[in-house]
Amino acid sequence: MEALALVRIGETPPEQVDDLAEGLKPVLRLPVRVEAKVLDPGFAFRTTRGQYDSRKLLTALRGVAHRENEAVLGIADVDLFASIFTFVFGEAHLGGCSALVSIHRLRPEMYGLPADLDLLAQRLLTESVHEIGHLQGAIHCKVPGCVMNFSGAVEEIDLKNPVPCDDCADHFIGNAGCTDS
Amino acid sequence: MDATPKTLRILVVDDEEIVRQSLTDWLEEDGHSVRACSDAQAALKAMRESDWDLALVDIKMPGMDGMELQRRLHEIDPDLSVVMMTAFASVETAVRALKNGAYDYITKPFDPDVLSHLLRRASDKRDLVRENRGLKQQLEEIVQPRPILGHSPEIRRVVELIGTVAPTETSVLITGESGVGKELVARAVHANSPRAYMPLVVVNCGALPEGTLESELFGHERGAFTGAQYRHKGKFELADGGTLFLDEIGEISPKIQVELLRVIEEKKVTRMGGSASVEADFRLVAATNRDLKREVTEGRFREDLYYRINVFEIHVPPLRDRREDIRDLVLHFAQRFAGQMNRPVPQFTAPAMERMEAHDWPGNVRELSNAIERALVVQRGGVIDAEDLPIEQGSAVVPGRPASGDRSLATVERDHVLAVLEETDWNISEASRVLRIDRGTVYNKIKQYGLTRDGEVGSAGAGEDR
Repeated sequence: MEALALVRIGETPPEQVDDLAEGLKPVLRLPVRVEAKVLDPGFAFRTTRGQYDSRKLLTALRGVAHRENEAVLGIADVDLFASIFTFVFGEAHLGGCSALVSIHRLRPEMYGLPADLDLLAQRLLTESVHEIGHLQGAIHCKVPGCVMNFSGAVEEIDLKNPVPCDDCADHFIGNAGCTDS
Repeated sequence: MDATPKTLRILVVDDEEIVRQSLTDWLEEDGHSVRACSDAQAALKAMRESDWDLALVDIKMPGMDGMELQRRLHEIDPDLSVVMMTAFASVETAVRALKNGAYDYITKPFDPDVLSHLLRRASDKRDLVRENRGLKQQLEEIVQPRPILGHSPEIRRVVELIGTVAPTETSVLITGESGVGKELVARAVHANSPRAYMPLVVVNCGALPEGTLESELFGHERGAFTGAQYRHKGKFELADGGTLFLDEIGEISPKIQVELLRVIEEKKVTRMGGSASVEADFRLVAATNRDLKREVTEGRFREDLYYRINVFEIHVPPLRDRREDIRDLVLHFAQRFAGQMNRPVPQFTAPAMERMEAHDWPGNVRELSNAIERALVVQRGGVIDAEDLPIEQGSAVVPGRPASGDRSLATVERDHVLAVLEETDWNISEASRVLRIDRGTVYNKIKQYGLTRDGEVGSAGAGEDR
């Protein structure tokens, strides 16, 4: 993985994606660009669940932005599910090239709290680094506070930093992950 | 907090490919080793081929369903944690799965947090099972009694009786002369009983005066008698859940016989000076070298107590009645004491072995054990000859030593160390080579026994001059 492209999915505010690109650069130390094309998630909507199939979106992302050794991170504003889970904050192919996060369940309003754009940006950055970590081959980490620590609830995201612990940092150095073309 | 990754080996069994794939991906992201199986046959094959910590099994599958698979998986590995998965949640199926031995039950789709917690608990359970198994093994090594040696029909019979009575709750009376190994039999009964992991409490009834024995057995409340400053639990209470071994039960006074009978009958103890009774779940094993039946006839032992303790009798025959066991015992003790003394296991000359096999051993196995220990101290060159043994044919007298003299092991060792030092002209290195102990130990022995170069025993010495 030599670079990262961010792809907006659906109605995700462009400024949030731009902010995320700036936030990711110092953590990943990689070129990060925002893809001009936007992915419409409608095809992934499952009426029985009222949610969007994250697998389908992941597969489609590669078709939107496709450059050699460049990974793609989709940023959605819709509620995502994986076939076995009631919801997911995001998903990635371990060691692959496509990852996905959604701001839907990162918004404080989702939990009856006042909107907080700074908190949302922080959560989005943390979850994005987490999914990119999976692209680079990192698995879940048991160290509290490490970005690769698993979060099953939004409060657990707030307990993490958007950076890896010393052990996981190895995965974020160099060109690990996404070497396909 | 433990930062070590706790990875599990997980078997995923589901007929839906998307479920297998998604679960595998997620579990691998979580650091676990995963094998996905599309049906029960593949899962059983994987189970036979490798060890797994956890199986996530779909209840509804074509062919063999999850419930049946769970039963078969547990036949292969009872420690496997099986979590049943279903898209059709119902209380009935959940209860049935748990009753069948499932570790947990989870409804598809899962809440990611629920699955994560479930895996953490499964990992903790696996660690506890492993730890428990390790501790049990260590405990078994500790509680394992010394083996009952010998191949004579008499001793084989004793072993057979132990095997018969040990798994029961029956009271056992072990009879036999002093030194035959009655406590060893009692320990074997306890170790082979379902109470093996609970305490074996030993009370030597002959070694304590009546008042002390009463307090030891039944306990006492604070202030029960002068000096009773604290509440003291008695041996019956301490043996709760385990075995109480009353050695030399023939020595107890008539007063304690009455109290003992009551406790055995009621399985309740009242501490001295107390009023409330405490329940005590113990198994009673008693031993005596007396002829208790005659003691009953002559009125010294209560008949009702005799029948209470003598539900099952094991008689341990004296060593002179099973001479064919002597060789086994000799070799066993030689090995044990050589290990304790950090010396090579000695050889026995034919005359030494013949003398031991011919001896009557009035002190039985205990006397034999002492004789071997002493011989190991005095032997030279790794060979024990008849002269090294503290016995003569048919007697228990040390050749060349006054029968009434001090025959303690310390005296024998002191004399022997001094003799070697004199032989080597107090050359410590030479003496350490002869004694096969290191130089530091030679110095320690000299200091311990107060040995001096002129052959005098100094102030720290315990015995007479040579």
